[in-house]
Amino acid sequence: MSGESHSAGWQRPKLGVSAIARLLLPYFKTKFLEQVKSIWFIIFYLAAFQILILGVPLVFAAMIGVGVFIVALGLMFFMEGLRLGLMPLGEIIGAILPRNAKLPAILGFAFVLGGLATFAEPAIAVLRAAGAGVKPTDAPLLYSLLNDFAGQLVFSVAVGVGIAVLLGVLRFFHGWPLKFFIFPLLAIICALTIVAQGNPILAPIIGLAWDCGAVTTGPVTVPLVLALGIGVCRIVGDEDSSNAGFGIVTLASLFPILAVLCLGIIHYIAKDYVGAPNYQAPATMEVLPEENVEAIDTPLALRQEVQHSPVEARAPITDKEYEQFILTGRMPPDVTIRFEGGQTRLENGRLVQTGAQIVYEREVDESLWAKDVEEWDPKADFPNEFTNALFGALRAIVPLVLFLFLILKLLVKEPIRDWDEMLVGVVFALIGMALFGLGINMGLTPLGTQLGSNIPSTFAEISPWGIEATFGPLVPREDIGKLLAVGFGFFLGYGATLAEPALNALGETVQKITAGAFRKNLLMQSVAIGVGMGIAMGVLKIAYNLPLAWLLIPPYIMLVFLTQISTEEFVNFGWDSAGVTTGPITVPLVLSMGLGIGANIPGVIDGFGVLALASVGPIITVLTVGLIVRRTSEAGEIVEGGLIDD
Amino acid sequence: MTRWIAQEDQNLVTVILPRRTSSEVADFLMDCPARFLLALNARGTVIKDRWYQALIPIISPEQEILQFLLPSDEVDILMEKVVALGQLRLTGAGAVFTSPCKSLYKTDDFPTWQNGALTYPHRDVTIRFKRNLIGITATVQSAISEAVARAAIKAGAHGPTIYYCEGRGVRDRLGIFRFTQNPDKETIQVIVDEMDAEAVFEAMAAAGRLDEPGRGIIYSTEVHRGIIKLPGVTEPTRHAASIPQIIHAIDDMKGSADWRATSNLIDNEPKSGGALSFLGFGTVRNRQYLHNLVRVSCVTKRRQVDTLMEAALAAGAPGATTIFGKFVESECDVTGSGLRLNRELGAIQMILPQESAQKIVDTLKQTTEEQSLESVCLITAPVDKVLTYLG
Repeated sequence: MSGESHSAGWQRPKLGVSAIARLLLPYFKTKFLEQVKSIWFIIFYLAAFQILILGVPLVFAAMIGVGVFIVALGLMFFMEGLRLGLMPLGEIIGAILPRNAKLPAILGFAFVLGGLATFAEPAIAVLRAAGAGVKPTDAPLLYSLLNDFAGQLVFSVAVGVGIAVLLGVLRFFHGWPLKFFIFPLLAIICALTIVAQGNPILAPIIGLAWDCGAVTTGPVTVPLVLALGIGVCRIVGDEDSSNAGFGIVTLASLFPILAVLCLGIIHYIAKDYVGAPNYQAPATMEVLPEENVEAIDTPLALRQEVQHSPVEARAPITDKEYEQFILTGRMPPDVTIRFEGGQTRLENGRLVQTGAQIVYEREVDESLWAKDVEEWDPKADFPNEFTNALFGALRAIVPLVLFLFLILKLLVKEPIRDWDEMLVGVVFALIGMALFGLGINMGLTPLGTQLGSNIPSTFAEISPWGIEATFGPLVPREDIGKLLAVGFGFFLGYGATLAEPALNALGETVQKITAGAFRKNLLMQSVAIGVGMGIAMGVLKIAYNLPLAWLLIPPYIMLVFLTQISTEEFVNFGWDSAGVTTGPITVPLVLSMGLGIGANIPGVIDGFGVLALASVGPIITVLTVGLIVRRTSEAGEIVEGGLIDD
Repeated sequence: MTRWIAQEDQNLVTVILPRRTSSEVADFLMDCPARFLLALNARGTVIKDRWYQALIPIISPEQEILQFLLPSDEVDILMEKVVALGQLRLTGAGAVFTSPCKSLYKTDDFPTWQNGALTYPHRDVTIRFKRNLIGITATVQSAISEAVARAAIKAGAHGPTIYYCEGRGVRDRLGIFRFTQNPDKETIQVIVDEMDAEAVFEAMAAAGRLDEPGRGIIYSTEVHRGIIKLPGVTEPTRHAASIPQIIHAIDDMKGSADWRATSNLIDNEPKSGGALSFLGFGTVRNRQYLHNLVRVSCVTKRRQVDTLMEAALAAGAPGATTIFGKFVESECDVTGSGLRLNRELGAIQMILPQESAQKIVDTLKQTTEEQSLESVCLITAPVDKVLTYLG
């Protein structure tokens, strides 16, 4: 702001408290409602499925309600933080780099950014939860990678993402089509997967590797990397580059697969894993995280056989009520009378019972609804969880932002436009991520976990989550029950995807880059349907314990074909959306469901693979939609295109 | 010291093309002595001609807008070439049109087309361009752009071209709280015959309720001549020629669009709300138009846009929109593999009354000199009619 501009015309008005309130209230209201719109489907779907279809009361309902509200609040702040802070920051740097730095420096920057992003949003916790049930005897290499070599695993993923961002940026400078990267990469990865599938030690890591690819790109990384690419492409390139700026996310989801497969193979060749000759056991074994473990425990039902012949009545009549009865002869209203023992004879056409005891017993309502269901988790420690969430948010955002600001300061001497707005954005992103993390722990995780562990009740007898009872199977025929679970998985994936913040950011970016020609809704709907189909496949995989490689490779072969015939633009959008889909909302829901179902299927050792399948689905749907859209818009042009001569 | 050059006889040529043909045309233009053009991403609008069209989203084909300045004696030849390359004789293929600048000031480092350096021998233009065109431009909140675009098509316009811009002015006066106001707006542009202009303008204004506060602004400018073949409606059945084609053909034969005047057959009169008119229903409203205004456009490097815009706002401009586009030059840095490293250009547009327009232009010039900014170009063009909320 130059000094003399205050002189004439207008001055920045002094805003009073009421004026600020009048600005902020409608702003927060509309933004909050936007987020409510994006998450209501998944919440209502889960609650309705549990209550109406499974017929099980919701445990911790009040806590979940509060949690969902906090999720919406967190999403609101986070999305605004992306729009105001992180994305402009990334875009500015992207636009400045090509003119102010040499190519090697830019590539170095890209590599560091990719690596930092991986450390900022560690997916390893999620992957460990998925592998919580893995036993060293069943899958030694997988167990070692998840536990002893967790550091190496994260490191190799970071290197993978770093190389991906580097190549992605290099691609912009040379104008290489994304297809040139996808085909060879896929060929290598598929070849390695097939090799691994044939080896009993390596086979279990396939799921881990493919899931790593799906999980690494988180809600901070994706928008940042997208914005960076768009910034670069604002400067570099020819006129016909509307799709430019995309593709990094694709590479960032493919390279980690390769990196993890390679890591596994190296360890296999070096014979360095649990039980192998060169393995050295670490001094202390890390304890597995507690979450999701309960789904794998022996079902409560098995431990509660005792209740069928209780020593004490399930709803005992108290001493006080007894005294009352002695005094007044009246019993509490819900008591039934039963005769026990004695002899019954037929005497003169009458039934006479002698020597029987009269037992007054309180009636027990057998339905689940009569159980006392906790409204709030007594074990939850929310101040502590909030601190954890805040710390997580700080770790995810602050190092990245500091790194970017440093680069900006080194490269640009002039003042940065709208720095104050960006600062507000970064703060919003921090608040948003912290609240979002807290809300997920309070609301979505309990909701998703109980649904996930209750869903096998469609085909097996289980004990509902958080309720001491047994229940199920809902459908007498197991296959039909499993199909019901598959259907549930579809809508779970669909709804969760619509709420994913990174996908929302991608959709908005696509819409902005194409000046509105490619609508956000179209992209999100096609991605959501794709994820739904992928997760349905994943449920099928777990429910019937199918080998992952045979489910992954055919869709990818189909993808090669679709990619070949699609335009570069849709290849970019489609493949990028695959990397984006599996974010903080989908992952806990899908994992707990996968583990819950897996626990009821003999032979299933881990919950891996569902996420990888959830990444294939959207690519197929987006490319298909792309082909359809191109056909209709071309048809539109042809109808108009008769020749007239003037 | 900044040296200002005032150029006479400059025309602003705009080409709107679908992606299919835009890169070919842009490449051709780069080979001309033009050496630069401003490229914007945009989307077209096509509706299906079915009764349920209001229920389905409009089809939005991607388009690109190319804009450049040209001395008037080269306009026709170049436009003819663009017509040939972009196949603009086909309906639905795109548009090219030109309008003269009322005045143009530029710093000496701002590149313009070199006059007289034609690569083609001078020859007569064989194409007859359509004259008496009116450009109608509405800048509105993103949420209502679809309604406005539909209304324009229904009133007889081609499918409007829509592009993104940033609305400035009020927002910048809020200080840090400006983050509550989303600056992203959409600009909807149609070029229609003078004949249809009134109806289209009214329809767009009514659909967007642009006389209410905070909704947007609509204005019309003169377009000198051009060929407008943008798609608008897809028809379910295929005839030898579509209705728009037939209308175009008769227009061409007649030499004007006057034959379409059918005021006594079609009820063009704005309807009153009938018995309920006392409640304020109905379309009759005393809209207050502003006439004879000036559009001041300032084209400069992207990073200088803010400085200049703040200066203009301080000097009394009520508001402005900024558009950022790619500045494609034929002589520019390239990457290792031959990709262009483009500069980015921003354009500030303001609609101003005659008297303050000159003042704003002077302020912008003065700011440029004081802050020694580079590559600034100021263009003014007359605006016939404006409708917006007048406070």
